[in-house]
Amino acid sequence: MAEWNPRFMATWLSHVHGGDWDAAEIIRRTAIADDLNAVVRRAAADLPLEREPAAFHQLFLALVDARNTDA
Amino acid sequence: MPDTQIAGFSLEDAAQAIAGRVLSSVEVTTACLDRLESVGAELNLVAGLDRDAALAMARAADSHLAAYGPSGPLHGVPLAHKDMYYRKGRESGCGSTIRAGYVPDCTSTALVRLDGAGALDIARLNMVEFALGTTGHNSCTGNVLNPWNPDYVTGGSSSGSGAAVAARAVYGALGSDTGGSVRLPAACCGVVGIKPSMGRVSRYGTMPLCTTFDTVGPLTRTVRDAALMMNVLAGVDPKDPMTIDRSVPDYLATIEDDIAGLRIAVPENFFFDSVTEDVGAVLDDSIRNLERAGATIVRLTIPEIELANPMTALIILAEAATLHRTWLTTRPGDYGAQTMARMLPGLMVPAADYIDALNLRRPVLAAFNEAVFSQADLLFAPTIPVPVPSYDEMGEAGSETFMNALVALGYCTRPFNYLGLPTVSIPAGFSDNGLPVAFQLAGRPFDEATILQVARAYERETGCTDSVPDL
Repeated sequence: MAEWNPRFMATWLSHVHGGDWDAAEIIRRTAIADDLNAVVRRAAADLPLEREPAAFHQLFLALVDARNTDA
Repeated sequence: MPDTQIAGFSLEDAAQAIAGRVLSSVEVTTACLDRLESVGAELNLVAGLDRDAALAMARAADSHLAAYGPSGPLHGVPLAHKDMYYRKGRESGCGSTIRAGYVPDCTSTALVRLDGAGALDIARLNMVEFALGTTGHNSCTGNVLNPWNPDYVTGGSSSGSGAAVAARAVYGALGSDTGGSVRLPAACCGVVGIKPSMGRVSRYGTMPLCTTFDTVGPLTRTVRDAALMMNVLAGVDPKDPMTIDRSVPDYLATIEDDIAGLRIAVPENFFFDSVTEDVGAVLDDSIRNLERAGATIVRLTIPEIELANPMTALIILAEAATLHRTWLTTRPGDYGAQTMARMLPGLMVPAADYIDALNLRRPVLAAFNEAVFSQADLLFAPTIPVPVPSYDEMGEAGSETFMNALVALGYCTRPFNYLGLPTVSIPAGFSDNGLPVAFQLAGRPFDEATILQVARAYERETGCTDSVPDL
């Protein structure tokens, strides 16, 4: 994403999403999104990923009964 | 009985007074309508109100009561809700210019359940534009003002709900919580707010912001009132596939139980990192009061929790931008500055990062579970780590100062949306500027009963919900 050209991005957004996009605004907003994306990429590299779609929900539901097993 | 005294009741007391024929629904509804029209105008609480229709509903409730008895636990009690709960044939503006005049063709399950319990829906309450904001700013419908001091923010996005309940204009109100939007106005306005577990309360017929995190929750004056509303709202709904078919306990049945032996985790990392001295002093008192009430305090460290905020932000922005993509391009001038500024980055989130952010919930929740729930029954955290800011202190909506404050306000609330855990915000006292301070209790999935039980024990110990703004 750091390699992206904001002016190209503005043109691309105008083309794909329609509307008149301001390249200067895109530069600022891209930086915000870029920060967030960098955090996710770092985290994804450091933490094991479970890729089953329902994995989070399975864990979430398993926790429901955790109190009984704790006791 | 004077209107101000009637309007000052708790939801539970109002319901009992009506059911016991001590007061009529017309008397109680009139008191709230008067309050909504007077204080409501001063604080910009109301998005829509039809006095005649409200009184007609109250008369019908009184007639029903006389003929058949109460229709449910909230029979004849006037409530009002965030202006994003759809009711068929009634406008729902979602705090926006874009949705002004929108008339939905369905009624939200939350409203259907409250209707079934006998509650009256007497007004639509102002909110942050499209529920995207933690402060209460709204350049489309105007800022809602804090009942404790109108120079200060109410918190958002359920700004009108928090302020209306605190101002004794309604007995309870629905909010919605995607990153803190029930708990933040509850904290800023000194009332109780609960974000239920993901899947506990149906979102059908409510304005979506981010379906991964959107939750429906009540704001009330007391903890018992929150339990009363949760008793009505909770439960599976085939119209919302995210809801889960698990039994719903009677939250009032165990709410007065002794909390001796319950273990409350107090985190030593992340949540207290940016707490100011005056807010910290109030929170320290709260922890001591919970100990006095019988709980055991367990201090611990939570790994990976610092990932929750950026992941939550990324998911909210991506999903919100997707939902708003057409309007962002066809009606950009109709958005407020802060909404537009926060929506746009969502269009630039790579799909792979979005999916990673979703998938990372599992290891982050597993780490949280191992660190917290292996040693404790629930977690204590600040709701807002800093004093409630004034509108002046926050600066112009959309500015860098504003955006930084907006992020700071939600610092301690968003992690629980990422993890899907039930969390309640409880008034704890006041900071040096005279505005409320609050803390959160987060529990295991679907264990709303325990967080309400501990919150109620704290309320009994301290009288934390007795303070009322002088209006």
